[in-house]
Amino acid sequence: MAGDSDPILQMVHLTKRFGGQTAVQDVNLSIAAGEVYGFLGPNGAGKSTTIRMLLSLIRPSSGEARLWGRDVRAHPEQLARVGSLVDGGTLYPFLTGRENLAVLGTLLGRRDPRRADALLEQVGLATAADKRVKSYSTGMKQRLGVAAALLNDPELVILDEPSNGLDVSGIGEMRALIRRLAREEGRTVFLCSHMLHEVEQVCDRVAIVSKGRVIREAAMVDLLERQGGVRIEASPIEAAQAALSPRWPTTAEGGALVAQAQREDIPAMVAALVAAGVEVFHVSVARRSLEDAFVSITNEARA
Amino acid sequence: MMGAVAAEAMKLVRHRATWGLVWIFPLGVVIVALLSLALPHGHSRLGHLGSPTLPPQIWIAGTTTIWKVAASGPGRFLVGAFTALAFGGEYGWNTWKLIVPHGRRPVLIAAKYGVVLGLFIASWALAAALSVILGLLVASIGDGAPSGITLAALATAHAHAALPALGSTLLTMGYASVGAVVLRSTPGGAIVAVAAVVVEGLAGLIAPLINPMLFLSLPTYHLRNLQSFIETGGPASQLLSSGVTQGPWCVSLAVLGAWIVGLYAIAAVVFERQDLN
Repeated sequence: MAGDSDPILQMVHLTKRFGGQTAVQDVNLSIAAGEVYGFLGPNGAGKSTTIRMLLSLIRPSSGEARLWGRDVRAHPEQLARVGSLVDGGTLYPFLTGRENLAVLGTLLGRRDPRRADALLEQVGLATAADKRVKSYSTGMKQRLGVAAALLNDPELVILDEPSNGLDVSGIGEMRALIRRLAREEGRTVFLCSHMLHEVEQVCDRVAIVSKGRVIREAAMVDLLERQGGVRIEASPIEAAQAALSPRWPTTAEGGALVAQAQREDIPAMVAALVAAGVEVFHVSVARRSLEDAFVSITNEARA
Repeated sequence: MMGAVAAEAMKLVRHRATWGLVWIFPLGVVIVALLSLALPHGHSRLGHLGSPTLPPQIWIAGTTTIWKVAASGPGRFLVGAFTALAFGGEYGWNTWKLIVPHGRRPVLIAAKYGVVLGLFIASWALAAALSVILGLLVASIGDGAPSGITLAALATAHAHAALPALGSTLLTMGYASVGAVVLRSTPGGAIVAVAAVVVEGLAGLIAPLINPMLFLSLPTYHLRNLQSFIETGGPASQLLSSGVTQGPWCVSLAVLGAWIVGLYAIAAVVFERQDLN
């Protein structure tokens, strides 16, 4: 019997082959309650196929997708605790937004017009709720898809490219919504996105996939700090560079220095600067962007 | 299960095609009655309903026409098209992804069969009730209805007419659902259903030319045999070539049941194993 201490979502040797082509290969991941987990990869990396296996839309060739410790194929009832947005909100075009939520709520056995209204308000579709979905823009469909994903008050929310088709303000709202789902409402979010800036801002942990394999899994903070160095704002900059270079190679970047050093080196670096009569204004671990990390990691994998 | 049925009904009832494929039957009855009322007495097909000398069983049989329409080729084409919409539509709208994570696949399939059948039965029952009401209206405008038209007689006649329609409807739903699920397409399902109904009809025409055992394994004879037992109490013989024994009703019921259950099982098993990309 699986208990609440089990990881919410697990992939165990999850593999999917289509004919002779392997779309997802031996993926092993474990996601704990309350995490916002990013699933990143270039197009064709197998992200959507993985999500489809999690939702029991397609059958794994081998391995298991487990929800709350149970294989989702054998225990599809676990999906009642999951909300999902796949393919940008696939909804009935001949029904209105409100009717779509009513159909889905009825299917779930928990039709609640007040909750549907609240969700429509939350995703900014209150005024368009009684229009047929076929008249919606891509962004509106996407937002209705998010409302549909939250209809069953899920503990785990699986979002596949939730910002596709949204404008700049819509992307910001989506990011805020994802943060709220995790931080305020305590839900676990599994976010599949190619929008690295979005993922960088909301995810606690990420897995990077390429050609169906997970090539790196790490906490976001570790991923961004890796090989980043230490950034120093000091004056005069030439004296600072001269003081540090013997032990930590440095380069000048935009009025500051970036030294090839680790966080643990910072006290010694500051001491060396002070001993050289340099004024130190700011020292921090240099962070690379997720985009830099992503490109670097995927290039390493290709090599 | 009830949630799946209610959701399916809510969805299909709101689709525009439901008017053209399901509610067309009662609408058709109303239109025929209105046209009849607009024509001079005695010139319309319904004019005879206003003749008190007409035997009551003939008058009642006139109101059961809707069930014969339902079991006819065109009626079955409509059943096939609507079933194909119910099953194939989810592929066209890309909405299996929306509902499959929230329900067991066999339940979703069963809900579709239940709702499609329920809607057609509701439509035909409404059309039959309208036939009786409008028949009485037409009769009251003419010289009156014949005596002996009782509720029990009406119920018996309509039940006898409805049973063959039910059999052909269940069979057509099977053809259409298998076509829609295997081909993942509404038009595909509709074409398969229409083709199967046409082949059934042709099988009746070419019965003397094909192997008798093959013919008896097809549903064509058994549908007519059951209809014959219901209507006359005896077996149908007109489709059998010489040397083939007439089948008892229970054999026909078993063969037809096997076809229906088999088709539904194929649709359910194929869907259960299907990847929804």
